[in-house]
Amino acid sequence: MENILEIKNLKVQYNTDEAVVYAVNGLSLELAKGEILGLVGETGAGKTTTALSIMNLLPDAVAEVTGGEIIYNGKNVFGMSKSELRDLRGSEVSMIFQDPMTSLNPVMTVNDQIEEVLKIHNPQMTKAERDKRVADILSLVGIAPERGKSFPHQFSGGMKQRVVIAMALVAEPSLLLADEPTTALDVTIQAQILTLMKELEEKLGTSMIFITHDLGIVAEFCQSVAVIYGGEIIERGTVEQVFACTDNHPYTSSLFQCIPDLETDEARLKPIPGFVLDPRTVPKGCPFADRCEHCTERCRTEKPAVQYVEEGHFIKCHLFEGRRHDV
Amino acid sequence: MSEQMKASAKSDRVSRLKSTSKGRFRIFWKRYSRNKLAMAGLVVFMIILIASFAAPLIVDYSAAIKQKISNKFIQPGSSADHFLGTDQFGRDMMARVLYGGRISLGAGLATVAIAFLGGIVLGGVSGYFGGTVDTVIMRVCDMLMAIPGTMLAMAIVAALGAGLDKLMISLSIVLMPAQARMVRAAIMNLRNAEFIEAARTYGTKNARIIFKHLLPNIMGPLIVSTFMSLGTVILCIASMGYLGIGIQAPTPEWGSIISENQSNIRYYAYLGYVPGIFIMLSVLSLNFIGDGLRDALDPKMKN
Repeated sequence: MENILEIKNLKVQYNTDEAVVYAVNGLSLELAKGEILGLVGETGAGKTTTALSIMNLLPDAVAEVTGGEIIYNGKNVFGMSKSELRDLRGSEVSMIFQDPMTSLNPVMTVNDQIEEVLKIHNPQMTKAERDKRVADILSLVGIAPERGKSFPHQFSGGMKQRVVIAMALVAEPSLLLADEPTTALDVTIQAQILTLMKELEEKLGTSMIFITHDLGIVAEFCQSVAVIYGGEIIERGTVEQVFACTDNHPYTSSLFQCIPDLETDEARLKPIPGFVLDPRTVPKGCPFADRCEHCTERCRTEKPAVQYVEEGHFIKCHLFEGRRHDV
Repeated sequence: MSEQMKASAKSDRVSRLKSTSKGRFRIFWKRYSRNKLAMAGLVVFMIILIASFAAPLIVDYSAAIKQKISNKFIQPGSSADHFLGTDQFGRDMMARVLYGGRISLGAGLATVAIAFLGGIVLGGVSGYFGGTVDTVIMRVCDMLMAIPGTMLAMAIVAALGAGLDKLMISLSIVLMPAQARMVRAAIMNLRNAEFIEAARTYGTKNARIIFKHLLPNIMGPLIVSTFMSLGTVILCIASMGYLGIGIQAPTPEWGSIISENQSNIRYYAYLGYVPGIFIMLSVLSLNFIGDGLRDALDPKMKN
């Protein structure tokens, strides 16, 4: 299938006053048209940085792209002009933020905020057409269009997130970046929002990168999954491949062990020893080496290469070298 | 439940929703009117403002400038024609004060408006973009703020020449740096908010972000500080008038009315306190209005 997005060996660092933080270190990722990819990783693994890079929206004062490129529909995002970027943002790629409480402007009515996206991207639309679109998209996300005249503080958290989703979808983007869209919501609302997003994606055929650290959501919602650690993708495959496989990357396996199993009677979960990689250092070898129980001397000195274990499923780990099944 | 009841229950809900969404001003007004002092300030200020701008309906302008020495020094209240008395040239004090209010209040409002707009643009740009732009704008503001306000205004008037327009320009230059600093601080606070980032992700241009997203969010405190500074400006215009570098005689203006009468104030005290009371009342009521606005616009007091 055709790829809508290709990230090639992306490297991003943040130059702060105290230290240089290496957020993304040689991340490569491909996304096919219509695919829903779950991007899983711990806090600080580089998930949001990756998403912001796709829109070329990294804060220029501190962030620096030191290598790699992001090809969206055949064009390098980092080489785009200002007006090309404006067209990209919102109408081609749009983003849903983690916290609906803060991602809406408190002094603009919901209608105005959704309408603004249309004003920017479809200037030829008349006011009546825009109003119609806004009412349509509001009812699509399950909000009565009359409520559009309200301000965000008059909405509940779940409704605000629906508004945010409506804003992200109103210009019908081809790629949606959802940055932990359900983390700030309680579980019942989470389920509603996920069902809603699934419906919308079926209706509009949008590709999606779903950033989360909830493996349950990934299993239920996504088609494929990429596990990110220390700013690189260490495992990538379809949901079936990654979740059914007993032989995952050691990091992915330990993530699975952190999920409580209802069938066995275990009192404690097994946490991953150690801490997330210090982002101020770039390890010579595998980023997970310090916390890995299978770690060898080689893991510390040599970067593991991509090992395909099946068609479309790769693991970046020395353990899997030469274990490639027949493809 | 019958169909009719259902329908009426539904329409009831819709109408309630409508009232909450358009009732923003009403909520503001409810909270403002709860403050007695602010209401009193508003009433007094409106009376002075309306009386000044409707002055031609009350007295003729010629009464304010035409000299008639035979009528000089009529005490207030002793003549039906000259309710507030007359000055050393026999000019009607009421006419002078009312027409003077047009200049004092009008120039004050205009000055504050210029400073408000200038402050928004300078502060907005420097707070939002930061970096070199910010440094340049802020250092210029620092330089202007290092000079005492009245002195700076006098220097600018001295350089530009006397006249109402020049006076307004000089006073707005004096006010602008403080305004710009305030806007800048407020914008820096907000510019990394998630909804601003969200606006960027859907391709909003910088100017639009500043003026449509950031400014409405800081309007409350901004309006309040502007109102507060209006009092200062009126005082400043009055003191410039008193020093004789503001409005040129015989045009009446509150400060210059006091200054031209100062040699007679010792014997005819009303010459000082009639315009003085007008200055005091309008400055005081403006400060009360500012206080009331701050309380009414403060989101933390939302109930």
